[in-house]
Amino acid sequence: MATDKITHDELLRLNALVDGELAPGEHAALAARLVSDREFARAYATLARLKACVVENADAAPTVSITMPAAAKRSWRRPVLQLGAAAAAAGGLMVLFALTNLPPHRQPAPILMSAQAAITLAALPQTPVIPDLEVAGLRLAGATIDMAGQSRVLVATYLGPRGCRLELRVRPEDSVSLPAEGTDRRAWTVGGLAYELVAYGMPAARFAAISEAAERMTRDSRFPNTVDRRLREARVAAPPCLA
Amino acid sequence: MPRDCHGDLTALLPRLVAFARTIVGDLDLARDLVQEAAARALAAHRVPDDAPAYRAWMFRIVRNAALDELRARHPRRMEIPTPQVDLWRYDDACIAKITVEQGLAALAPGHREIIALIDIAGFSYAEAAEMLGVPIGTIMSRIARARTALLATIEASSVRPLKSSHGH
Repeated sequence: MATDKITHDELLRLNALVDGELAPGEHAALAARLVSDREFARAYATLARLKACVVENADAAPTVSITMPAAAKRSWRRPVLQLGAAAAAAGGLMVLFALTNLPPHRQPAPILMSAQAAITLAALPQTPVIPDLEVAGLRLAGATIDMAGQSRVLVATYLGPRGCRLELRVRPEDSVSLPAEGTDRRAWTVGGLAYELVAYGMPAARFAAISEAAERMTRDSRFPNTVDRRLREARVAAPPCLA
Repeated sequence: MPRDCHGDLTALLPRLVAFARTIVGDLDLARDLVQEAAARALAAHRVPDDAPAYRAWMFRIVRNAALDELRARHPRRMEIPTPQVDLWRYDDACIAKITVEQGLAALAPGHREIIALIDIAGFSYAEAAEMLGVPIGTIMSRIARARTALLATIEASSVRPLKSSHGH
C-alpha cells in the first residue's frame, strides 16, 4: 500500500499543515521535507485539494431560505423549542417553565427537562397540557421521554407529601400505548394526543376525583371553579397512598 | 435579550446548513435542523456575547440537533474500503466536487462530523477539541483518519468527473 511510505505521525502533521495548525518551527521543517520528498509533496497536494473541494461544496450549497422567528415573539407556535434552546445552552438540563399549556391564572410548575425531550415534544401533533395538581397536594416533580415502539411518550410524574405518585403519559393518539403497572388508570384523547393518568397506590375515590379534574383541564383551557373544588376535596381527609 | 445579540446569525446560516447537511446527508433535513436551531437560539435566555463564542454556540446547537437526528435513525453501516492503491495519486480531475460530495455522503457519521467541524465550520483543532470534549491530539487523529477514509471512498467509487475537452 502506497500510504505505508508515509507514517501515521507524518500523516497527522500533513493534515495539520493543510489546516494551518502547525507551529512555525514544525511548519518550516515540514516545508523543507515537501521540497525534497516527492511522495510527501503529492500527499500534501492531495490533502489540500480534498480540503479545498469540501469547502467548495459547502460554498456551492443551494441558497437556503430560513424563516427567522422574531426574537420578541416569545410565543412561537412550538414553544417547546424555546425551552430546548435554553436547555442546550445550559449544557443539557434546565428548569422548564413554559412547556405546557396551563390554565391562564395558574403558574406552571417547573419541570426538569432535557433538550432531547424538548425536541421530541415539538414533534407531537399538539402541545401537551400538563395539569397543575398542586391544589390536590400533588407536585409536578419532573418529565421524561420513554419509548413505546417507534413512538416517544412524555411521562410527567406528580408526587404527594405522603407517598402518593401519579404518572401522566401523553403520546400521539395513533401510537402504541406504553404498558404501565399502576394500581389505577384513566385514559382519554384530546386533539390528536392520547392521555393516560396512572396511579400508584392512591385510594380509588381520590384518584377518580383527581383524574376527572385532570381530564377536564386538558380539554378546557379555562379552569372552572368546580374543578378546583374537586381537587381540594380530593385532598382533604384522604388516607395516605399505599405505594 | 437584546435583538442585536443575534446579528451574526443570518450570515452564519449558509454555513450552518452546509455543516448540518454534511453530518446528516440531506439538504432538506439540514434546513429543518437549522430552522429549529435558529428558533431555539432566538428564544434562549443566555446568549454568548462575542462573535466567536456566538458562532461556536450556534454550531454546537446545530451539531447536537444533527446528532440527535442521526441517533433516531437506524445507523447505516458502511465499511470503509481498505486502500489498496496509491491514495495520493489524485489530481484535480479525480478529486472533484461531485466525487467529494458523494464520498462524504458515504462516510461514517463520525468521519463526516469531524470534516464538517474543521473544513466546513472552520473550527481550529483547539475549538473542535473543546466542542467535542477531547484532546487536540484526538482531533488530529480523527481528521487524518476521516480524510484518509474519504480518499479511500472516492477511490472505491466508480464516479469520475468528465475530463475537460479543452485542448482537443
